[in-house]
Amino acid sequence: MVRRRRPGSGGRRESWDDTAGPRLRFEREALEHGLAVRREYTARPRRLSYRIQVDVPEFDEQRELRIVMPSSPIRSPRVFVNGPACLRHRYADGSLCLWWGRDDEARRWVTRDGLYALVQLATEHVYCEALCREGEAWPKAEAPTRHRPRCPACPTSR
Amino acid sequence: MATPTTRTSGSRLPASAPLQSILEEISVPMDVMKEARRRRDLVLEIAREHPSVRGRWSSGSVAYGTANSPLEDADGGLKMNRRLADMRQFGPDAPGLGLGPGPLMEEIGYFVLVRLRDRHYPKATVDVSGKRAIKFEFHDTVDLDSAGPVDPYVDVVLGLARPEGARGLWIPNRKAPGGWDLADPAGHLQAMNGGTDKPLRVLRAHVVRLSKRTVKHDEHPVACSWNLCALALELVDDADLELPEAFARFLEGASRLILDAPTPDPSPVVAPIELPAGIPASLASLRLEQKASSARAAAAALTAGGARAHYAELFGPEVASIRSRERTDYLRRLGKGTPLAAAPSIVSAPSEAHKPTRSDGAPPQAW
Repeated sequence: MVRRRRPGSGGRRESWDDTAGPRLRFEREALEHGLAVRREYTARPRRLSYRIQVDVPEFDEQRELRIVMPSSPIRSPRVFVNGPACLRHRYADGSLCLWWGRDDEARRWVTRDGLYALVQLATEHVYCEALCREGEAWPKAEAPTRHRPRCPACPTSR
Repeated sequence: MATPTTRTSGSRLPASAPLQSILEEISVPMDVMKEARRRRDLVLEIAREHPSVRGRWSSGSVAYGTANSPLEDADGGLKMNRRLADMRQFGPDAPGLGLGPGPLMEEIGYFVLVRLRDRHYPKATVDVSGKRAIKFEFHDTVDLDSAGPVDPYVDVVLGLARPEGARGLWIPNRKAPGGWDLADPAGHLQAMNGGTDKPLRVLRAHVVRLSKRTVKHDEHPVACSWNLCALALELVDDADLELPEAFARFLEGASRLILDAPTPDPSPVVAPIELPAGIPASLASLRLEQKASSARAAAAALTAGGARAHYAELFGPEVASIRSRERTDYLRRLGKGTPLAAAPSIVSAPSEAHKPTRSDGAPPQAW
């Protein structure tokens, strides 16, 4: 029997992260590269999130990324990382400012780039933060937005 | 609900890549190796022109494939013809009171030096006062592209054959009564390079090189290189093991064996290998056990970075050097807008480069 949903009857709205096909395509490259990926769903609002262990290049520190996926693919995920922060390149909620939203797609992560590219970007960001804490200048290109010259978390500003 | 996923990157241990990079860091550039071998062969060939010299051999780390950088010397030996009247008076088994090695070392040393200066190296010098070896220095630095300036010297040991049928040679030991020790260079070379298949020989050589280097980092090394070679002959016997596992097992086994008794020499005619002066077996065993613990933790690490953090306890200067090079490379890439993704040690195997993004600034309210 085919059950038809009556218009206006409510019911849970499906988001892209609930459906196996797009989600598996999104994760595939990360899994192929052997990343230890843990998938989680938050209850309200229901959101897909990932916990992924990464190594900070050169420093050999292990960190855990928490990637909270948005309700819709057209919005950006938020990426958090445990351990010490460099607040100069964090948003107010502590998530990493990985790209400038006004850049065109060639310089900005979009959903079809996949989870692996997002993890690489986040790892690169965490590496830049580690350098920053050692007193190096931010080694990556920065968007023409307002950046605080020094971060209270940096040893150089104490 | 969390959904753990399994690793799919194959059976290689995460520790393999960092340990391999350490091995490369301590490797001798091929050009340097060739130059050292060339000088050794030159000295031995000149020495063979002496009527008392009957044969030659190669020995030491260059011959065994266990040399680490920086390579300072190459070792060789000369077998003397004891049938000549002049030679019969040397050695502990000579009639009457056999002569010590001093005069013979001087004779061969200066014989080679004169010809070495005439033909190739006018600034060459010789030191015949060593405990065992005649040391030829060339004072002729060669600038190699791969390694910069090098000037390897050559150590040559003289060997007296034993009575017909007896294995081994008498080699100089000026600190021993009588001045001679029993040695078996041919037996050692055969033990290290012969018999077993190449994969096992290569694995064993890698384990020895890593062990030599970590032991050398201690203020008071607890075992000589040859002791580590002899232990490896006994302990490294499974070519299917990955290097991190073989290395950890070797250190664990060496810690155990060295506590039991002095390591037997691979040659039955040579005395067991003593620990360095002033190092008790208990201390040597404890130090090797500590190193084994770090190697074991590295082999069990889930990520390459985690493994390298443990290896830094064993190979501090090497890991620091590798990290320094990585930083230079990463900074160059980031400065050019090239993502780090193409760098080999990041996250996992390199993928196609991700986009070179620009970091957004934190909005004012973040502060």
